Amino acid sequence: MEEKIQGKNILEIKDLHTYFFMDDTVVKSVDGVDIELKKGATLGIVGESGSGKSVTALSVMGLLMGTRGKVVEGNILLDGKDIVHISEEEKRKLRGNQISMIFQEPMTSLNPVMTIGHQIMEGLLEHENISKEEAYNKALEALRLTGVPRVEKMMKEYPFQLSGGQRQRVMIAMALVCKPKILIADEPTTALDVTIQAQILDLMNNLKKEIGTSTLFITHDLGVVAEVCDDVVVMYCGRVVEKGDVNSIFYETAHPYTKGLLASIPHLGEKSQTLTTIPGNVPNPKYMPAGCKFSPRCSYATEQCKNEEPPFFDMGNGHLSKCWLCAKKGGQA
Amino acid sequence: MEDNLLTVKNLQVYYPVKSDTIMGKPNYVKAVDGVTFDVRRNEVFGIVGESGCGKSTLGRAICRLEHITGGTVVLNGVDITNLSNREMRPHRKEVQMIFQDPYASLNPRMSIFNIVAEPLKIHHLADNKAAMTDTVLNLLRKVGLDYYHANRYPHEFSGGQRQRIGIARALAVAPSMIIADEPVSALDVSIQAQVLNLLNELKRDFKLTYIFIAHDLSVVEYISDRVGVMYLGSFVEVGNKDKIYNAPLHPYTKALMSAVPIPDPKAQRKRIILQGSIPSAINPPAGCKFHTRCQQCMEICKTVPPKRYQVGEDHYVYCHLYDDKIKEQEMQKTK
Repeated sequence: MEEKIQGKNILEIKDLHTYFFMDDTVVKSVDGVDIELKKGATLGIVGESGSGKSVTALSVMGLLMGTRGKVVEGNILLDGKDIVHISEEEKRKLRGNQISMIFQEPMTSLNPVMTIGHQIMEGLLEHENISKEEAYNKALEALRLTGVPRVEKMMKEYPFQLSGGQRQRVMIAMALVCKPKILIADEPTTALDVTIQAQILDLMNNLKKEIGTSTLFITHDLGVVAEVCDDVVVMYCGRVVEKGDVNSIFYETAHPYTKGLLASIPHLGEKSQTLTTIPGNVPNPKYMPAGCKFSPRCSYATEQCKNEEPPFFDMGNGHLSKCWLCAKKGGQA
Repeated sequence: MEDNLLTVKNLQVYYPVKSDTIMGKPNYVKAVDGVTFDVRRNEVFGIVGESGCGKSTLGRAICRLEHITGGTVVLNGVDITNLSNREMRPHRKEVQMIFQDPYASLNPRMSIFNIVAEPLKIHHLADNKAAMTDTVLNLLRKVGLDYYHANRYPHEFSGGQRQRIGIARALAVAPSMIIADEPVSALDVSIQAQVLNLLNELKRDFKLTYIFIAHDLSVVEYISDRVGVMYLGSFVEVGNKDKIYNAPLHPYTKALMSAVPIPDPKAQRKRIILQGSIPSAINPPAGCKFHTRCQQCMEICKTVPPKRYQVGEDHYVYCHLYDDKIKEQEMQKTK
């Protein structure tokens, strides 16, 4: 653990601003996000829909071309090298090779008219100068690693012949076959049943131990975060509101939004009469409130919160929270 | 008055599918295959299970929205299993549904007022226009919306608000029972908590009975009094919520409970990982349907479907492990 904390950051996102330029407005989906992923660690990005977590991932992957989105400010450093301001050709060389991604929908993110084997081999043939036979063997190995039965047969099968859990394993094999430096998993278990989710989480934990992948794990499920993540970033309205290691986030929760999120999930085996709720809705990105973006829904909001956006306050041990309340509790700006 | 509002006995819903050969017997998807339970007045009966286990079909069959193949459904003392559509009409007031997808279950071309007023018109429940307006606005207020929302259209609302509209529509005919099919699974956690609290409040205020169908075990535990766990068209365990959650007995329930991620990084986890996935409902395994994934599978499980065993007050389990005789025989065999 100690080593990890001092270890190098494999990925650093610095003051990232990703905006979508619509006909009449600019939607600021990601508006000043700083995230550091430590080598060999799993970092959870948590937030509700529309908080900007997926857009952050797409910005890292450089997958915004063809949309109206653009990284307008900030840097993304992979192993110290900037990957925002490089050519499309160079980005191609990174994708699937040094950074790969597992998508949410295993049902729709595989090509229905290509065999599983071809889909896993595709990345290898693209990025590595190897023969088809070698690629086949490597693909077979990657698939075997994900624990699917009858691997050889599955290489020849098509996605429709597989169940949801199997497809997600194929996605993982595809993502890992080039041994990427970082893996981005965008809600990888959300579409799966709990017993299958347990299988996949178990697999991802094992793979982390075996090959030491560094993972950005995007999810809205705090239960999943508690199981697989070392560090957590909580996002709200395109901003990071709180970050720290998993224990500080769960046991020394500092930001009212994180507190609200944790309180609004019913816990298994706990009796309670009413759930605590966060009143209201996530604001429309076209009409963002001034000051702290959470202030209209926050029960502790003061005049200051409504007018001034808070900076990060350090609560110790790398645990940061963007809330004026934390200043009163002794946090250092 | 009878204690049970709803009694379901050996309910079956089969869908015919193409047979393997041209002249062969038709195959059936046994979506619901012999389900028995009852729901008491003013309680919440939760149904949990993974996708494809038939929980939604079961809910829809109770409302007579699916063709019932066999078994009986007795609602409020009336057997509604074989009523014609016309005969069914007065009973439809008794059971209403809340659907999963708040984006697909509201007509985009109807104003909120008309959506909530429609059931009142169909069942002739309002004497005049003023009374109808009054009822609709009252309902909207009850579910936490404002009167000025009445003239808006569904696209102007967020997911949580739409679900509130769906709830108001279900309440319009003053039903005694509401079947909620995954009412919060499409919502963000903070909104999910708001809707769950609302459902609890309404239950108290209107003396409602719910059948709450969901795949999220913690949500079902939070809201239910009694729970049925479904696997491949049948219940595997039914009973009091506390018993099912604190001392699950069926191997499937145990595995299901252990698979739920706990939002606590320091929690002790003893996870039972089930191998494989749910078999097809067209050719379900013989004997106990769970035997292909069960870690405590015995010889008898592969051929004989288990009976319902009572293992405690209001706690039933469908598993050979709880038949003392069979267990003894198996023990001797293995020796």
